[in-house]
Amino acid sequence: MNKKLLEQLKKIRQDYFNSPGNAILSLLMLFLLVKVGIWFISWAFINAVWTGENNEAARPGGATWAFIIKKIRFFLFGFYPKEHIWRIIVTVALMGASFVPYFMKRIHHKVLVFIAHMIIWPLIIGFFLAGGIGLEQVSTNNWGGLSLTFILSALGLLYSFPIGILLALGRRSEQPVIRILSTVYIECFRGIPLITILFMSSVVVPFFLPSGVAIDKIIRVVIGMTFFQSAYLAEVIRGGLQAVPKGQYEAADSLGFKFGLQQYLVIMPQVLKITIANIGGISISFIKDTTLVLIIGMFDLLGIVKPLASDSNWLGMEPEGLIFAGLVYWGICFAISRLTYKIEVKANTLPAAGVKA
Amino acid sequence: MTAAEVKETAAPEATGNAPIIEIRDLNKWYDDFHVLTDVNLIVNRGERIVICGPSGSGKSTLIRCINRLEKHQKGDIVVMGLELTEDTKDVSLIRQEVGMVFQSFNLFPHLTILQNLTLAPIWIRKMSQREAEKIAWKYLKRVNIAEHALKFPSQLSGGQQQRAAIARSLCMQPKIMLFDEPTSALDPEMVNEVLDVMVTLAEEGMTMLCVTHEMGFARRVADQVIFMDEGKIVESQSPDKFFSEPENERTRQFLKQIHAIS
Ligand SMILES: Nc1ncnc2c1ncn2[C@@H]1O[C@H](COP(=O)(O)OP(=O)(O)OP(=O)(O)O)[C@@H](O)[C@H]1O
Ligand SMILES: [Mg+2]
Repeated sequence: MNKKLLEQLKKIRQDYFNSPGNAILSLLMLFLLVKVGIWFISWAFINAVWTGENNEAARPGGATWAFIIKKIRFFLFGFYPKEHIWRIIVTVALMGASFVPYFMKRIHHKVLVFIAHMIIWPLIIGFFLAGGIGLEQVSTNNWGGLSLTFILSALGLLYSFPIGILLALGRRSEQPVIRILSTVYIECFRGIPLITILFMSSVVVPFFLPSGVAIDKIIRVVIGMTFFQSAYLAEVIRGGLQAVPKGQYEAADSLGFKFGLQQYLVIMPQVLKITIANIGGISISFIKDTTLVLIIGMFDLLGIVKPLASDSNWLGMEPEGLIFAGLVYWGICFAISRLTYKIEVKANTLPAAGVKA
Repeated sequence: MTAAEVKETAAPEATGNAPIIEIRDLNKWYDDFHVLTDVNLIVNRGERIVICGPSGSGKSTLIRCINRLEKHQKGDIVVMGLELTEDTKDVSLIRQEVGMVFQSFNLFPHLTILQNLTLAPIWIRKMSQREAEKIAWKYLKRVNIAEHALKFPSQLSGGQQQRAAIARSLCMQPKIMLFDEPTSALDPEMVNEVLDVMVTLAEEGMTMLCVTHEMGFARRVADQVIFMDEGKIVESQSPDKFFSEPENERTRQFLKQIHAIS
C-alpha cells in the first residue's frame, strides 16, 4: 500500500479517533456530511428539472433549474430592454478590451493607461448603457443583474484605488493639515457601515442638492462606494508603505528624485508588490459588498432573485435563484483569488528567475 | 597593487581653487540631543577624506548633511557654490551632483541591476534609454559586474550589490561621492572587492568623503583623516601623522582598539 496514504490514515486515526467519545463524534459528523451531500446531489442533479415553462414542471425533492435557464437574461442584464441588450455586451466587451494595454510591453507608463480608464469607462457606460446621445435612453432603474454587479465593482475599484493611494500618502505626510484631513477621512469612512453610506447617498444627498439638480442613483452609489473603499484601500497601502525600508527613500533622494517620481518609480511598485494579496482580498469583499445596493432598490445579481421569483409562473423559486447567485459570486471571487495568487507568485519569483550568483 | 604604489598616486595634488564643500560652524540637534557641535570642514576638489570615530559620534549625520538627507539647524554648508537651505530646488540639484553609497546598499529590489543604474539618468538627467544604458554598461564593466546586469539585486552577493550601488551613483556622473561605511555590512572576503573599486575611483581624482574603519584604505588613499567623537571633529590630519603621531588622547585610544581588532 502507498506509504503516504498509510501515514495519512494513521494521522486521521490519531486526530479523530483517539478516544471513544471522539470516535462517536467523528462518525456522527461523517454520517451527517454524507447525508447532506447525498441530499444535495439528488436535489441539484438527480431530481433536477432542466426544462419547463413554469413552476408546474417542478418535481418534489429536485431543483427547478428551468427557472434559471428561462430567466437567465434577467440574471445577466436585469430589466434592460431586450432589444438593447447588445449595448450592455458592447460596454462590457469594451471595458474588458481596455485591459489589453496593461499587457503590452511597449507601453511603459501603465499609470497613464489607468488614468485613461478613469475617464473612458464612465464615457463608455454613459454612451452605451445610459444612452441619450444617439442611442435611446435607458433609465438606470432598468439596469440590473450580473452586469450591474460588474459595473459597480469595476467603477468602485477604479476610483477608490488612486484615492486610496493619495490618502495613504496623505496620512504619512509631514504637512499636518494633509495628515489630519486624511486621517479623519479614513477613520470616518472605515467607521461607518457601507449600508449606511449607501442610504445616505441615496436618501440624504438628494435632499441637500438644489432643486432641479438630480444626480443619478448609480453615480451616487459609485461615489458612496468609492468613499468607503478608498478608506480601506488606504490602510492596506499604508501598511505596504510602512514595509518599504527607509533606505529606499534615502537612495532615491540621494539620486535626486523628488517626491512624485520617487513614489511612482521606486516606492509604489514595491508597495503594490507587498500588498497584492491584501488588495485581492479586499477587492473580493468590495465585490460582495455591491450586493448591498438592493437596499436602495437596485436589482443586482442577488437583488434580482426576489422579483424574478415573484413571477406568478415561477413562485417559490427563490432557493434556486439564491443558490445560482451564490455560485456565480463564488466563481468570480474564486477567480480573483486565484488571479492575485498568480500575480503574487510571479512577483515574488521574478528575482529568482536566474541563477543565484 | 602595493600600498606604497597607491600612496604615491594619492599624494595631495594641486586642486581647484574654490573648495567644493565648505562647512562652517555646523550644529545639528535631534530634538534636545546635540549631534554635531561646531563642525568646520573644507574639502577641495579631488580631495579624499576619511572620517572615523566611535559609534554614535555623528559621522553618518555629518556626511548626510552634505546632501541634505539630514537638515542642520545652525551654521553653513556650501556645496559646489550652492548653500544648503530650505530651498528644495537647490537640494535636488545638489543631490544630482553628490553620489551616496550606503552601508546597506539600498538597491531598488524591483528593478534589475541595469535598470537600477539607468533609472536616475533617464528620469532626472533626461537621457535617452540608449544613452543611459551606454553609460551604465561602462560603469558595470568598471566595477566588474557586467555579467550580472540583468539580474535582480537579491540574486547578487553583498559585495556585488555594493559595487552595483557604487556604479548606480556613478551613472549620475557626480562630482562628489559620499560613502557611509560601505563595507561594514559585508562578509570579510567581499570587503576588498569593494575597496578596490573605491581606490580606483580615488585614483581617478573623485572627490570622496568616506566614513569607514578600514584603516588600510585610509592609509592608501586619504588626503586627510578626520576623527570624530561626540559630535565634534577631534582631530584632522594627513594619514601619515594620524596613524604615527595622533595628537589627541581619544584618537590614540580609538586607534588602539581598531588595531586590537584587526
Ligand atoms: N533620526 C535620529 N533621531 C534621533 N537621534 C538620532 C537619529 N539619528 C541618529 N541619532 C543619534 O545621533 C547620534 C549620531 O548618529 P550617527 O548615525 O551620525 O552616528 P555614527 O557616528 O554614524 O555611528 P555609527 O558608527 O554607529 O554609524 C547617535 O547617538 C544616534 O543615536
Ligand atoms: Mg553611521
